[in-house]
Amino acid sequence: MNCSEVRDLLSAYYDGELDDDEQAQAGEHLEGCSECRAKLGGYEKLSAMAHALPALTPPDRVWSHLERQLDAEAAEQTAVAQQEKIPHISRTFGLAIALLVTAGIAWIAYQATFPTHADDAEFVAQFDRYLDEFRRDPRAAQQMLVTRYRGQAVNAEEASRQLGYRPTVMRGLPEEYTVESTVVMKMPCCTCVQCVCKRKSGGTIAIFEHDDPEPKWFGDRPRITANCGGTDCQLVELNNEIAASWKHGRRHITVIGLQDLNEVSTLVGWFEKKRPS
Amino acid sequence: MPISKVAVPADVAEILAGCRKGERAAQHRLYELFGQQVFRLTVRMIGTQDAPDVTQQVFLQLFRKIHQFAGNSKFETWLYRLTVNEALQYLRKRRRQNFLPLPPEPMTQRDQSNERNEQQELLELALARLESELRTVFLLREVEGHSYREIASTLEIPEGTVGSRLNRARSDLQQHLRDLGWEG
Repeated sequence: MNCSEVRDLLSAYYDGELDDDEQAQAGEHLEGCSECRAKLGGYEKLSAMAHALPALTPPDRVWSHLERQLDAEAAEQTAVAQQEKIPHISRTFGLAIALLVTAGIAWIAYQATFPTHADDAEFVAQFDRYLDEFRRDPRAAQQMLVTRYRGQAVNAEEASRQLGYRPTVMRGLPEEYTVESTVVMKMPCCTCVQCVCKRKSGGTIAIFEHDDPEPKWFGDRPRITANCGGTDCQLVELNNEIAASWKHGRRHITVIGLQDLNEVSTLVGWFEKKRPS
Repeated sequence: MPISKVAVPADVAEILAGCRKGERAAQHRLYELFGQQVFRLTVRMIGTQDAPDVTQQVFLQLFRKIHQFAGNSKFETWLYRLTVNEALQYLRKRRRQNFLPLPPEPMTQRDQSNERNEQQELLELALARLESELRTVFLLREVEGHSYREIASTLEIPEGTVGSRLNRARSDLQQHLRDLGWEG
């Protein structure tokens, strides 16, 4: 074997992956060739460095987030399975079901106003999944939320009609942002309006205007209160991005995907100026 | 000719059966058994910052696709294939979004400024500069200790290609190390 042939097979020789004959021929060449031996010596040093790399352990949150996502998926599957059963049941017990439905309307209305613990857990898991996905792929995250909470694309008039107020988030945005989509969603906490916006400098934010505060949206993630742009905000760190939520008159605004506190202050200041007195 | 099945160790087979039924305890046990390997490979393929997210995504895909694991390869090979695909997909997405190839931060904490730590940092920085397909093959061989046959099966490439990629990976890595001031 010459140098070129040995170099082509050098990794396989070093890793003991050649057949006996080739291994012997390459070995013979290496005994008499200092340049090829030097190259092989370099491989040995790389191996030593690679083997000395420290052990790595995943943070605990990987499993806890994974478990929440699995819970959300299981809840979705259960809901779909229950929906699929309804036509069969209704054929068999149509009258009884109709009576039960009638009697249950008041209870359902009550549940809609005061979500149960199961609803809360499902919503927290769902929103957790949304937050994780938002950073990786905002469009996929948006699609997931819109599908789950029957999001409907709206213009300002339609949003005002559905919500009973004209949302501040539809009164314009700083020049840095362009609106990609605006939807009204029926989330367990309330019916809210959400704008997905692109930054000119890159990246996406999602702005929610909603009736109730957002204690459940961020699960058990740690949060701090800080004064941003003259307003007290709840801030949550989401994988090197920030989510900010603040009281906006009788409602609340929550923004996801913010880069830093300057961006929080800019948006808080902007929306508070736009708030109808 | 039927494809021969690869024997899965009894305890892993039992855990996989539980995962197929959606049993949370089995899913947790599988994560305990293989989470560290997946995380280790992910960190070194994509960097520390997003490795937890991608690790989580790998296991989510694993539990969703567990019914597709037919036992024609070792379970670990199947899991590594999922991990590599998820990491490469992440890197492609990051390139499309015009992010840097890899975060340049070292993965090793510099708590002692000894030579060993410096070498680890240098290798991590050099690995980050390596093309992703070369980085993958180098890590599977040198850090995970896989044979060429296992690497070929994981990456779905011929065994001969494993050797040629390793030649390039080792050569490029040495060059990147020299560029970083390595005098080894």
